[in-house]
Amino acid sequence: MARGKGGRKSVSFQPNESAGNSDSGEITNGDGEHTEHQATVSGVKPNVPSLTFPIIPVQNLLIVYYMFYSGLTENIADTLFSGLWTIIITQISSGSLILYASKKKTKKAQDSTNVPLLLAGSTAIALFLSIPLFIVVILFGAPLAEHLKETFLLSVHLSFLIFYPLLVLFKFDLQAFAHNFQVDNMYSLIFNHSVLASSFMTIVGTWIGVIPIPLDWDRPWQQWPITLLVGGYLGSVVGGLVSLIF
Amino acid sequence: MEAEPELPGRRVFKQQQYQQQSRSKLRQQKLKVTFIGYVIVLVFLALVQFVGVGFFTKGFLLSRNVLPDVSECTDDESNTCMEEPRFEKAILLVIDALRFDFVIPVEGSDEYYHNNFPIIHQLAQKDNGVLLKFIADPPTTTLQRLKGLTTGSLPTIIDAGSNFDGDAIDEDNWLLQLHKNNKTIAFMGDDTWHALFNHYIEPELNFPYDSLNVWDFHTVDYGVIEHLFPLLHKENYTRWDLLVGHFLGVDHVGHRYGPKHFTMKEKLNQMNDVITEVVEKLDDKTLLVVIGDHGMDYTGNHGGDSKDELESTLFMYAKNKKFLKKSPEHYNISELGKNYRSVNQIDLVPTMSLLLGLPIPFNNLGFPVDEAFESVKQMSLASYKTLQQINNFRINTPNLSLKINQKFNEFIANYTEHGTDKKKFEVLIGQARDYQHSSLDECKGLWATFDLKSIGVGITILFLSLTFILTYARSIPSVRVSTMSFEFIGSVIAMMLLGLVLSLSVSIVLKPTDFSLKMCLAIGASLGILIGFWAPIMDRFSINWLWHQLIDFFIFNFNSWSFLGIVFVASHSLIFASNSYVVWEDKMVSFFLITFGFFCVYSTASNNHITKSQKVLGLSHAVTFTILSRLVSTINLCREEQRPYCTPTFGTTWWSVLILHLCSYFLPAVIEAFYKLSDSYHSAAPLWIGTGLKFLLFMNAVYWTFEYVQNSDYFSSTNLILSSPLIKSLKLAIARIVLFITLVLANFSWSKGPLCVKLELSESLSPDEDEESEDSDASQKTATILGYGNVYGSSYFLLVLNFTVAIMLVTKPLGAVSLNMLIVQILSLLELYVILDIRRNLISPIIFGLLGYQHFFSTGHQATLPSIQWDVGFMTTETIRLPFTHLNIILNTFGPFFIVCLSIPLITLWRIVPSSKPITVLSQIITNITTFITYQLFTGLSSLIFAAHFRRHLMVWKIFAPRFMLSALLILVLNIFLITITLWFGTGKVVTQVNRIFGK
Repeated sequence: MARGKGGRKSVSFQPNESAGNSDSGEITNGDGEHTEHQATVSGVKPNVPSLTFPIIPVQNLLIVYYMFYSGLTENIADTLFSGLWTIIITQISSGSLILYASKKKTKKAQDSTNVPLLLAGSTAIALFLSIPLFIVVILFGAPLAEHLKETFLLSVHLSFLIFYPLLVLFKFDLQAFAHNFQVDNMYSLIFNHSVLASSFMTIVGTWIGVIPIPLDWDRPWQQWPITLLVGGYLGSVVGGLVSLIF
Repeated sequence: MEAEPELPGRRVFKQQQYQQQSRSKLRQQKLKVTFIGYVIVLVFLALVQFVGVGFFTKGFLLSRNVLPDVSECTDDESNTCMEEPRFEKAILLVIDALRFDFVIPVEGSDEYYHNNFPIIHQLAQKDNGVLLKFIADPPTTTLQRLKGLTTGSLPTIIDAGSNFDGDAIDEDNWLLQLHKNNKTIAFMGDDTWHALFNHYIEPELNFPYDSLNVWDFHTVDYGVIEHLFPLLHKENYTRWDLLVGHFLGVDHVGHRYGPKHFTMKEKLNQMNDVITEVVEKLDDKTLLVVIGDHGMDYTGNHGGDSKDELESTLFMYAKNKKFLKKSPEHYNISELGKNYRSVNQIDLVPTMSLLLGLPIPFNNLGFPVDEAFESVKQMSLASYKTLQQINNFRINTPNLSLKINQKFNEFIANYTEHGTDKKKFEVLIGQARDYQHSSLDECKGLWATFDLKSIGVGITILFLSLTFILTYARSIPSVRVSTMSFEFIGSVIAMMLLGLVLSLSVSIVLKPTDFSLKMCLAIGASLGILIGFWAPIMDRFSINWLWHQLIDFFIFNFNSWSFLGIVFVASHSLIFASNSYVVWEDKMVSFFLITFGFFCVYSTASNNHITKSQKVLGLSHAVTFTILSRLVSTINLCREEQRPYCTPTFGTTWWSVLILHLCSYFLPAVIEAFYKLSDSYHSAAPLWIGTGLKFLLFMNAVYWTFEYVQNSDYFSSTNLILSSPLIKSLKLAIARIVLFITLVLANFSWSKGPLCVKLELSESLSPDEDEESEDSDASQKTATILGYGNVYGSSYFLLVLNFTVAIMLVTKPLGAVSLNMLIVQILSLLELYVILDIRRNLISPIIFGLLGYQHFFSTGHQATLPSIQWDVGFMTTETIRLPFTHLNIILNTFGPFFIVCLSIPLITLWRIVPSSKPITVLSQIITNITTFITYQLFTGLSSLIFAAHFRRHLMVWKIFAPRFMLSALLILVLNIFLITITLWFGTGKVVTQVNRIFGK
């Protein structure tokens, strides 16, 4: 379309209008398929606080195991709720670990952060963010009429897995966080950073966690939303491990 | 510009103009030639696919070998006739779709279909009546059942397709035996009997009625009643020996409204009265048999093999002859008769034959019903005779197991030894039953014989065409493809002829036993076409080059979008590897679409190549798309296997009709808003969208309101001003008018080329035109063409709307609501493609394909036979009339795919200005169309391969085979639709039209 002119074209009645009238929206010729990648080249530098050592949330494996141990398949909602305290506490401690790992490099900024406030604030925000996440999970196809309690608890869990480390890492700096989306090679950026990779793979893991649900094996762990929860938790660990390889 | 005013004194310009004109003429001719080239190439490609699908279908859909032999009464040991028939005459009353729980008392049930047919169970409590559960063999369609009920054999699914033609039966059956023994058969009811047994029925006593008009509950039943009772009068009693009556009302109520409708109660009460009266008039020597040919599922449909569809009723009654009843615990009616004694439907065949003293039909596999005989001794004799017949059949049928035949010899040995011993009767019957069981099981397994060679050939041809179309669609640059069409055509025709000649000579010289001449020719031609396609490609590019193209794609052109597209196609193809995923395909498709929607949200949000306003617009489109996809996924018709995890929402309710009315106002408004985004709501658009669309959608809503009013309990009990016949004729009129306007009138006027542009003349110059016209006179008039930026798209979309309205009419209300959302989804997608600049990415047509599937499911369909909505066939005509009935059903079933297919060119055409290189535009449309076909072929081939792989799977006829049929039909129907309507009619018209007017 002719950008900027709102889809209008001006024609003058003067006869020999130049033939080379630029039609900016017109499809380019032929081998244009190969030009797609060139358009995305931009020189944006990533802005992620780097870590001195990788942080791999191995404890998440234990949490999942513990939740199964304490009867996740029998009483989903209650176990999810009690497991919530565990994940919040471990995420707060791993949050302080993230702060510790990212502190050493920027010694100057050390004083300006109020660590307890940051951790507490992140907890509050992660709790709050579980509401939009809940809507997203519903939009993705979570049951509307039933299991709402389980779905919400799932989104709180996921919110702590996905958002909490990011909130702590970026110290609420949304601008810096959003800035990274403009980077050319986003995936290599993500997989080079254990916290980012862990958060990203949590999302992917939850997405993949949908797959076993339709199978007609009639196993207790196929109940909603156990597979998604396990997918998310495993994803977070896998993400951390993958970042080691890159 | 042809309409330019001629200015005097400008010779040079005039010359230039002529030159330009002739140049544009040349260009248009070139365009036309390229266009025709494409169409021919696609036609050949489609042909190859059809051949592949045909071969697979031939090998996969089973056919049973039928022995033409006819049994006879003989004098030797193998005589299968009873010497003294127990009954001289019989009345067989078939009540179509009489499920077993309809006739037994169900305590505490308020359903309309329970406790309204009590007479049968009452009579069965006496000694001279017996009620049994009657288990049908799938497929539960009436024609197949009638064949089974008369021949005692197992009709296969391939016969299911011929339900609409009906064809004369050529196997041995007990009607034929009656006829042969000079007995007279009187018949009234469902004309399927007429089609099958016309030769045997007495012409004077033959009263067939049209069976497939499911909207008519009474004609058949009243017809049967009208002719039945006179024949039961004393003076007419001698005119017949067998009287067959087939009632259809119960079945039709089921198809139309489902069992949970008050009409069902009326119908069952009526049947109750009929049976009561027949019983009163029965004489001593006559046997009354009342059966259901199959049951119905909870929606009232049948055809599959769920419990509800298989369980029907068998009731036998004689005036004063006793039946050999078993102990009462066999007739347990608790839990809807879950543990009630059941017999197979084919068991009726030897029973009837033996009771009437006829030879048992040659192909029979059933076993006589115990209760039918007067003593155990008789029963033991009956089982002996049946075994003789089964053994005779087995000896004459090739490839049957000798081990089972051995069992027969054991039985005969036992029988000759203990045949007269009273104590051994039960043992002998048990042994005979064991033999019959193993024989039946073997035959069931064996007649699932697949022609693996045909299957293999089919899969190979489809695979080869898939590799070619993949190369054609994605690997060769589209512009080069446009110049290659005629090379393709030449070599394809040459190679096809070569293939034909070669295969002809092969089949003449080698005389292959497995393939007939026709099949050889088809293989030769299709392989020839494929080689013909590859030849020019290999001539220009080497395999190496194509390989590098592929690698290049993954290195340079591979981004998240193409990755997502490949993931979607791969997972959609893989779902056929497991029955669970095929069952839940509807949810998977929605999940993919919603994932794509979120991807769009993310990518518009993080995109910094677009302006702020575009970002806001893009975000709103992406969010709209995601939310609509989720909403659409809530409309579903659960298939049986999805229960209990799925609650169906699809149905005609008051609120769905209300939404339909609201949509008739909102949809045009939404489309108008989308048109205004590209400033193209001018000239043709307001007429089409603001007037036509709104009016027709309103008519649709009115139609379905009438339909709802006609069906509802509430309205039928109150006296309406509108009488029922008036509503009926109004509905017919509306349906006809809407379909005529949308499919004929609107398309005709569209073919004249409506444009959605407006010429705005302005005297004074606007500031931004200053630079362009600096050198010209200041007082000169300028014109602005509004809607120039979306000339193709806005015009083409009107065609999409034409078809959409027609499809919405034949879709039930909630389905039509989902189609309303489909239109908005498509429009949002098109805008998103422009904003995100992914219209050349392979994901664009794939998402369209997924949308087609999603709305296939949300318009009340599933990949099962019972979910075909036959009743919409009678919207425009009262009886079956080609092609209208079929057109409605096709539009209803494949409608969503049609809309999507029709919209594919819009991926390229939406929001582009008239191109000076129309061939480029055309070639990109072809790329999208072929990518779409590739996607369909990928999923189709995968479903074919897995259906063949799981051919021995327990669920093959329930899950894999129906899904394969859907895929095969989609390959067929979509290819035809894409080539004729999308490409030939739609794209051809719009591109040449716009190019003629705006082309330079």
